[in-house]
Amino acid sequence: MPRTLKPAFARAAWRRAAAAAAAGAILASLGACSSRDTQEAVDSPAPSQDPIVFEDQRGETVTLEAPAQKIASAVIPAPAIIAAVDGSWDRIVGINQSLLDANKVGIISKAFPAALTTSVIADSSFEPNMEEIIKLAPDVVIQWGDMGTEVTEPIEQAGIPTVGLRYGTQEDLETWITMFGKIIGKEARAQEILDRMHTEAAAVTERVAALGKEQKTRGLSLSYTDEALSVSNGTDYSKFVFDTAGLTMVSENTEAQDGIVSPEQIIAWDPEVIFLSAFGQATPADVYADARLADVSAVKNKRVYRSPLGFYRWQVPCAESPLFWNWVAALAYPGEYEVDLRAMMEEHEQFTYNYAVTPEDIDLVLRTDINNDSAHYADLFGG
Amino acid sequence: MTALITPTSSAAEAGTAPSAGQAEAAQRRRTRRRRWALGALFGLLALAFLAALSVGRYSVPLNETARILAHEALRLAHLDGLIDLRQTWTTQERTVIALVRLPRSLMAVLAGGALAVSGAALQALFRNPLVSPDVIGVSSAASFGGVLAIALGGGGLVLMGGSFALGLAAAVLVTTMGRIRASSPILTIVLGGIVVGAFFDAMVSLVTYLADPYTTLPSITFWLMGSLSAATWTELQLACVPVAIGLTVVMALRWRVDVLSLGDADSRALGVDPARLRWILIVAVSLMTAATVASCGVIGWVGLVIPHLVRLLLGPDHRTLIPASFLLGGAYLLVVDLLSRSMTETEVPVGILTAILGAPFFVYLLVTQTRKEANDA
Repeated sequence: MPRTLKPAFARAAWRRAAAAAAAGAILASLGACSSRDTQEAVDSPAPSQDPIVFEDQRGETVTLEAPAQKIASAVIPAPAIIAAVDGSWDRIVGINQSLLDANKVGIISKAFPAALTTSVIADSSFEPNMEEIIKLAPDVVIQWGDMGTEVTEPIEQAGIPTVGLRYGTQEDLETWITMFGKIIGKEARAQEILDRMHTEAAAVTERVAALGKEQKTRGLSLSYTDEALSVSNGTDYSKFVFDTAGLTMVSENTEAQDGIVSPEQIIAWDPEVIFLSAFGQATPADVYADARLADVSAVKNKRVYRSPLGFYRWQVPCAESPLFWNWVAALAYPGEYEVDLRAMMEEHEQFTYNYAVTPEDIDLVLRTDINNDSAHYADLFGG
Repeated sequence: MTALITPTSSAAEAGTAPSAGQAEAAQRRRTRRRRWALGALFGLLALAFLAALSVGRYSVPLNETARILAHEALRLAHLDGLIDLRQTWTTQERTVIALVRLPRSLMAVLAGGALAVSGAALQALFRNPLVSPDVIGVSSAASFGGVLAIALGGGGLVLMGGSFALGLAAAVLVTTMGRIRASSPILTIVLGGIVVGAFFDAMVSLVTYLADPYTTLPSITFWLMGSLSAATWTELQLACVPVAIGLTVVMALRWRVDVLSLGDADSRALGVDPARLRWILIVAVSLMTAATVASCGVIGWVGLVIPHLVRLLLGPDHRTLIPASFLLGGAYLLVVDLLSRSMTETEVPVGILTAILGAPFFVYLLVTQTRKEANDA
């Protein structure tokens, strides 16, 4: 037995020694084969001003040495809001694939042509594309703070300040605007946008209240596809919109946000007006053609409308939300709620994005091509 | 587990040699019992159907439901001129019954029945109690076809076509694999099915991953969860044809399925070509599965649980098992869908409910069978 074992041991020892020698040779040659100079660690320049410190919506403290010049965002609607605070697209270096797709549809590319060529740093999974982010070298990355640490940690570990956001309410939107103001060093401008929002929300509510309605209009926010009818519930931003514009949300207490409902549930609710999602492809004509919904008041009276898509989709919390509140209120109380939305859009987009909308832009945003067949639309928003 | 592999007992019956008179009497008894059982299951299905028509989020009184149904039947038969039924119902009530609940309930019967029959046929085909349409990869492939159709902006006929084309392609692929290794075709088919299924699952994930989270992804997710909420008359008509064809084929061949479950050598001895029969059955089952997947998404567990339940109640004879599986599968999906759409305002996707109800029930089946086996021993 030992006779057979001994040579094996000896062979193993030899092999180990040979491997060590080979490894040493490779390391030595690696040390010699670069023609580059040794890289010195780059010292960060001495801050010229006080650093910007704030708490994001995860409760994490974010520190920026100076106002961010380059911002990347995995959060889909954030760049459109940052552009509103900044009045330009210049600081946006990276966006979500979904926003790039939306930018091709709305009017944002007319104001900011660069919005069509901005690099993509994340897709529907929100997982950051770290190679791309490091290449872009943003001063700060905007990311969802409520989707687990997998989507934020890689960015933070790369040493890039990361702002975690939370989705949903008007308060969240206002917090975003305030934070974005801090990030780019334009807090006064952010406050101006917020003040206008507060004024407009109060004005819309007041004008609806002045109508003295005993019964609020019953509204439904619907996503219509061949596969399913799904509805927003009280946790969605549309609840705030309906409250502001004086509507009852018939689906307020449904169990699941964006849950599927049976057509008979919609018949049971009998909404008087239906707002279709701007994310979907369905048109009011599709809903009118659905025999199952023919007896719903909103369908009988042809009060189904696709939500607008301007610089971004109006139905989500965004810089154009005040326009959306007015659009909803005007359609809920047609002929009674007085607003010149076209004039308001000209003024609002000028203030928000420093862009003069044309009548064609307005038609495109309001989707008069598909909405004009519905009741009141041409009278209310026609040119 | 072994107790669930049951199709052999009919062979045992055939093996005994009683006198001609006794055999005839036993045969007649069995036939009578079979008729009774099928009649009872049909009654159950009818009852479930009536319940499905009268319960929902929009309340319609029972007598009005009946009147609406009668009115629709008369109208379809062009007899409404002869017999004048006074309209006591509102237009909303008519819409709910005639355009929402009726097509949806029929779709539930069709889908539940087709899935259960597919499961029963496949279990016999592969002599394996754990086989159901998802095991041979057809469901996954059909899902991929459907998901791709949705991602490309198609619905209705495109979706149905996509599901069906890929479902059938998977079935053909799997059966061809079975021919390559002729020594153990069944094993090859099951393994091939698992591989094909895994491949198409990955493709579904890929499309889901690439889909826009706010535009196409919700449609895909809803569809994949399995729901009957999209059922309309048009959809029902689309699903009807392939299911009817598949069902007719399986029903017509159900006598031979019994022979097939004896094993290939015995089948051949009894004059049945097992390879050809298997091929025909697989295409028929794929047709049915693809049609159900296209119209209601992937609804699991029905194909697995229902045939086992029927076998437990009525024995392994496929002449009874297959029609009984259709009836019970239809009734089961009707009831599950009824729960899905009426428990809460938003629907609980039916695929989730069949899994929640199916899994514990299957465990119960396993436990009782094992216990029975222990008692018998």
